[in-house]
Amino acid sequence: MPESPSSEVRKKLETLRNRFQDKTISEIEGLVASIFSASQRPEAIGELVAAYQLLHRLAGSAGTLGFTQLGEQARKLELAIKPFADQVTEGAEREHVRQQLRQLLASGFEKDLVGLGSLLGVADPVSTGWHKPVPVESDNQFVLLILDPDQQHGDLVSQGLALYGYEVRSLSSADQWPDSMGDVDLVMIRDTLLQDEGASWLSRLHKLPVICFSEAHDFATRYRLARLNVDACVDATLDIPALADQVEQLLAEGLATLSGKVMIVDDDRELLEHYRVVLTSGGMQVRAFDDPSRMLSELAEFRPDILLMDVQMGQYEGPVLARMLRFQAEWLSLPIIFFSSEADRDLQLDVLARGGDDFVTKPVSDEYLLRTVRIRCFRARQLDKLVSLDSLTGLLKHALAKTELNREHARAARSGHSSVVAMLDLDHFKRVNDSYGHGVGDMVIKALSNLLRHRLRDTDIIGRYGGEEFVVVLPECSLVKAVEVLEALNKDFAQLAFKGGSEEFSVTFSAGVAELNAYESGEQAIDAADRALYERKRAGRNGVTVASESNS
Amino acid sequence: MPPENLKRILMVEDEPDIRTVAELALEAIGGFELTACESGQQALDKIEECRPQLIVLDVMMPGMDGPATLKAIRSLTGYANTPAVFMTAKVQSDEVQGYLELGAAGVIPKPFDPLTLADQIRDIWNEARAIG
Repeated sequence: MPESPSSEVRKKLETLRNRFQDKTISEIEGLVASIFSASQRPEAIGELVAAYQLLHRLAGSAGTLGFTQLGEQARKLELAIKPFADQVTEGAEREHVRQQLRQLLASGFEKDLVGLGSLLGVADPVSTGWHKPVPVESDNQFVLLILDPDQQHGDLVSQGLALYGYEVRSLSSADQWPDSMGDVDLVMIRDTLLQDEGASWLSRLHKLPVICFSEAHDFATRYRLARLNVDACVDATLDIPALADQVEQLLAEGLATLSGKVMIVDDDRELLEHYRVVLTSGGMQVRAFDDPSRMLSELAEFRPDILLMDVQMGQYEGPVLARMLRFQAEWLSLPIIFFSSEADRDLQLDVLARGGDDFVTKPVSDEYLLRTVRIRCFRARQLDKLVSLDSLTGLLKHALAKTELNREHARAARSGHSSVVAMLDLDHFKRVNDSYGHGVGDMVIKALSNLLRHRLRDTDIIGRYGGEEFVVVLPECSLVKAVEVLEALNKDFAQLAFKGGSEEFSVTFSAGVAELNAYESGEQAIDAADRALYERKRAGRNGVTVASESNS
Repeated sequence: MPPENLKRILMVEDEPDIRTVAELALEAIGGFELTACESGQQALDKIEECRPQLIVLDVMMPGMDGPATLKAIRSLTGYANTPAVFMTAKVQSDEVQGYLELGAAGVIPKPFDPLTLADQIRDIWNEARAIG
């Protein structure tokens, strides 16, 4: 079977990294030797120039190859040694340079220099940041590790969670946890395994979300578990949907720290480019441009978390632009932050009143800019989640799902690709609520939304349309593929066992699908999918029906 | 008029490791056709063959450095306005300004992330097209 390009690329990156490591070990040895000899013999002082060049090169390349710490340290040393290299190039007196170099070495430079080589052992994992496009059956699965001496329980939990699209590994004790297994995203562990607080593997839990299976509800035990960095405690019962929900939540919290999207508008091109470089190197996604009249189209396409703009840009005034953006409901909650060189309180208040959210006073240091942008992106995302997501399921609310659907309809029409819309509805949901209560009903709804979120691609649009109705948009996906995916979901969802009182029950769903681009508007496509859904309901529920073309 | 899509890129970078990573980043991930050269001179020799739509230059190279290479390329017919991008391990605002004055469309700080390099280049390309 051919490998996906992503894993091939990853492998190549790893090979390159190893090669770089081998080569750089000896380069660093040479570097250390030449700096020392320059500090001892005035006639060797010329070697500083090559040493500086090597440090500069490492500062630029080590990070790209995954040795971020080495790169940063090389940058620090580069800056420290640059004045000496400059003096040598300018022909300064050798002995004088040598004396200064000795002072530099004694002031901590020597220690850093000697320690440089050891940083070659600290590499970032190749997989970080690998959130590239995903095929319909997502291959960037989360990996869950179950550590449970009760093997039967462990197996049942793995099987249950596998249905949600997680990759689950199960071990009966933590001592079997191999060092090589570094791709785990979340750990589930039995409380009895946490009794030995001196265990060497405990530190591995610190960086990961941890769910503990524990029947002990007393204060002392729970406090101890919290101290050991456990994030959640669940009874060891086999309530898989509840457990999946917990897993989902913990994983989502981790993802929220991902970098944000920033749009910058400033008519000073040099400054704009500088901001772009600073924020990009800080891991943000940046869209920067100097012409405010392009703002609406750029916003619609890039959809930033926050917008930074100058107060005055040629003929355009920032505050007026902000007010103009607020005309559109879509941009009502977009945080807008102004750069202002004036420390004028009145002007700032005026700007705030006209739809701006905050100020950054120019000149702004790179570090401050990056930090403030990061924090604001994070907050914007949190807020945005509250406003536009359904509180029960975390999916898009009706209105927003529809907006996204119409956008995809337009995109498909423009580029000519095929996209699919599906309407899903739980079968006999009223019976669930009536027999087991609304709490259990909510759990079923959550289970379906979690399943959809996990098994569909990040780029797919999933919304909660009504009580027990969901809308799904699959961009760049054929009708055949969509039906295949939905049928698999349908089968797996029916296998989930829910708990209602003392009983176990399962629920099914029906779905209607339509090809988005076969219709004049997103609205019409959704109606067609809806009609197909009701055909499926009449034909006995529990399955997927494609809209017949005659309806269009 | 349909927008011109970016396909052919010429890169000048003296470090073999970075050249290989860039090949991965721009060919395997970005889907571009990349001609990677190890020196400014090689770039001048190869430019007619690959007819780049965009040029990526490392700033600091032995012999002909990035700015000098760009100057030489600019003097060839047909490349007076080809968008050029500098890659540099030093990012100070006066430096960025200097490169832009030389006619660069953008600056990519080193170290760069191989997984997003193609996106960064594409952004600069779109920006350059919109302005030009």
